[in-house]
Amino acid sequence: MRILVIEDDKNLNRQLCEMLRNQSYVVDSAHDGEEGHFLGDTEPYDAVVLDIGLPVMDGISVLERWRKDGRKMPVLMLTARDRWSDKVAGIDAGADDYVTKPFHVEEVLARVRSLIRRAAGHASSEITCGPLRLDTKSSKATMNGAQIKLTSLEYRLLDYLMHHIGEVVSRTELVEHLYDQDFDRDSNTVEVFVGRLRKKMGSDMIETVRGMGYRISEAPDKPAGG
Amino acid sequence: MPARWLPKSLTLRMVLTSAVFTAFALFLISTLLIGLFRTSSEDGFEDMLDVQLGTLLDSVTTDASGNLRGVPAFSDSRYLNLASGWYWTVEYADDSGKDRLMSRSLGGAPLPLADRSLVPFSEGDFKRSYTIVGPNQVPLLVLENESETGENSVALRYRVMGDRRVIDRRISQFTRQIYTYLSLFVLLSIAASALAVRFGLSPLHRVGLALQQIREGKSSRLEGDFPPEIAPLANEMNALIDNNRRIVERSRTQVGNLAHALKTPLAVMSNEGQSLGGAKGVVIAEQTDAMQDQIQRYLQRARVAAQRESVIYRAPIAPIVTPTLRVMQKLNPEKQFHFDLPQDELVFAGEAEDFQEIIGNLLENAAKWGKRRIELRAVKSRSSTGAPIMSVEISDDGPGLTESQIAAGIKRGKRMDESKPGTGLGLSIVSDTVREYGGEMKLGKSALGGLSVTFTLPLVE
Repeated sequence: MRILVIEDDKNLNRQLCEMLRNQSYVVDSAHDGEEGHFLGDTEPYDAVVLDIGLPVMDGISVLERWRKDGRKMPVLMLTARDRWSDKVAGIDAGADDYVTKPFHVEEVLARVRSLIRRAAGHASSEITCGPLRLDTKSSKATMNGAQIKLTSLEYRLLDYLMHHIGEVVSRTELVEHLYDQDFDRDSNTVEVFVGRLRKKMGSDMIETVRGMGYRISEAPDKPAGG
Repeated sequence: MPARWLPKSLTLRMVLTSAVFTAFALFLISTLLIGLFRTSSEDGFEDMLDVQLGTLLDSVTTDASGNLRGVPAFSDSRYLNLASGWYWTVEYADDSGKDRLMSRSLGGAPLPLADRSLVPFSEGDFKRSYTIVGPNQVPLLVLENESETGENSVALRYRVMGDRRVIDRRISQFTRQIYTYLSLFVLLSIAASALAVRFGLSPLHRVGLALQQIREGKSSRLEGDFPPEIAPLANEMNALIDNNRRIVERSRTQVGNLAHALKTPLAVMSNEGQSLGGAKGVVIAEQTDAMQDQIQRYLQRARVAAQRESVIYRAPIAPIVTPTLRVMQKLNPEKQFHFDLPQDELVFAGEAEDFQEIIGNLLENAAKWGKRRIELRAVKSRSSTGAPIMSVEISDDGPGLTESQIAAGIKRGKRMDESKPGTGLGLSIVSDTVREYGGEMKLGKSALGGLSVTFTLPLVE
C-alpha cells in the first residue's frame, strides 16, 4: 500500500512517514501543496495524509483540484484549526476523514488503515480470504490459524492483494503500490516475491492470470501458470 | 430625564401634543366666534327694535291738552298678542303718570323701569337699552328713547321691548353647532395628525423591523431605504455591526493562528515523547498533552466569551445541523444519523460556530460509541425564569455510561474509555460552552439504550 504524506512541518512529516513505513506502507512525502498536488495527480496512491495549512497551495485547494480531476484516493485531512466549520469545509471539499492536531501518530495510522479498508469495501481490520487471514492492525497473516512469517515487502504484496480480493492486479500496478517513487522499479522482482509468498502460504490462492497479472481468491488451488 | 407620566411611544407623544394644541386653539376660536355671534345677534335685535322705536316715535305724540295720541302701525302681530314678549309703551318721562299708551300685548299691566343710574343714555341722544324681566318672568330687551314731542314740547319716554330669549336661543343653537363642528374637526385633526406622524415615523418603524431581522438572525445588517435624517444612524449602526464582526473575526483568526502555530510543534513533541519511550518520554508526552488541553480549553473559552451577550449574533439551527450531520454521515457510512427539528424555525441566540462546535463534538462522541443509530432531537421550551430556550438531545445506541459515571458528571479531561481515541476534552468543552450561554448539560440513558446528552441554549423568540 502506497501512501502520500503532505505536511509542511519537517519533523511531523518525518514522524508520520517513519510511523507509516514501520507499518510496512510505502510512503512518499511532500512539504508544500504544489508538490503534493503534483504527486497525487501523477502517482497512484492508496491513501493520502494531507495537511490543510500548507505553503504555496493550501490543502483544501489541493483536494478540490484532485476531486475535480477525478482522483478518488481516500484522503485523511490533518488540521490544526479544530473548528467544525473547517472540518465541514474539508469534508465538503472531498476529504474522507480528518484528524485534529496535535495527534498521536497511532491515531493517524488507525484512520489511514480504516480509510484503505473502507475504500476496498472491508468493514473490519481483519480481512479473510478462505483459510487466509490478514490482520491489518497488527500486520500479521495466518493460514488456517498458523502465522505466516513475512518480510516487509511480502507483507505489502499480500496486503495489496487482500485489499483487492477477486480482482486481477497487474504487475505494473503492484510495482506502483509496493515501491516508492525513488525506488528503481523492476516488475520482474514481483514475480519472485509472489513465488515466495505462495511458498510461505503453502497454498496456490494467488493465481497468475496470464498476460494480465495476479489474483487472490478463495477458489480451490489450480496449477500456477506463467 | 423624561417625566414618568409621559407616554413612551413617540407616536402617542406627538399625537397627544398635537391634539392638546388643536383642542386649545379651537376652543379659543370657538369662544371668539360665539362672542362675535352674540354681539352680532344683539346688534341685529337692537337694530330691529330701533326701527320699531322710530315707528313708535313717529306715531305717538301729545295733543293740546297734554294727552297722548296716536297708534303705531306695526306690521308685527306679536305686539297685539297678549304676553307675547313683544311690547311697546309711551309715557311721560317725568314719571308723573299723567297719561300712558301701551301695546295690546301687555294687557294693561305696567312694566318696570330701569334704574337710570345704572343704565345711562348714550352720548348725543336720549337712547338706551337694557334688560328687564317682563310678564311671565320673560327677559326682555328694552330700547328706550326720551324725546320732546307735541305742541307743548312734552318729554315722553318711548319704549320698545322684544323677547330676549330669541337671541339666547339663536346663540345657544349657534354654540351647539360650532362645538359640534369643531369637535368633529378636532377628531379629524387628531386622526390626520396620527396619520401624518405614522407616515412621518414610518422609517423609524422600518428601522425597528430591520433590527428585529438582525435580532432574529434573518439579516446581518440594517437593510432598507432610509430617509436622509435616519440614513446616517443606520450607516453608523451598520459600521458598528461590521466593526464588531471584524473584531470577533480578527480575534478568531488570531486564535486560529495561535492554535495552528502551537499545535503542530505540540504534535511533534508529543510523538517524539512517545517514540522516545521510558520515563522521560512519558513525561514529555504527558506534559505536551496537558499543554494541548489547556490551549484547547482557554482558546475555546476566549472565543465563546467574546461573543456572549452580543445581539448581532443569531443563528437558525437547521442550516447548522444539516451540514454537520452530512459530514458525520460521510465519516461514518455504516451508521444512521437521524434528526428531528420542530417545524417552527429555532434560532439560537448566539454564534453559529459555537452551536456547531457543541453539536459537532457531541455527534462525534455519539458516532464514536454508537453501534448503528444516532439521533438528534431539538424542542422549544422555557427556562425556569420563563425565557425561551431550546432543548437539544443527542442520543446513541452505544454502551452508554454507568450510573456512577453519569453521577460523576462531566469532568475536565476525563476519558470514559481509554480504548477509543480522544482526549476526553470534547464533553467538557461542550459543557463549558453551554454554560457560557447560561444553559445546562445533562447526561443520561437514551431510549436507544446508549448515552443521551441533553443541553439547553437560549432561543430567539
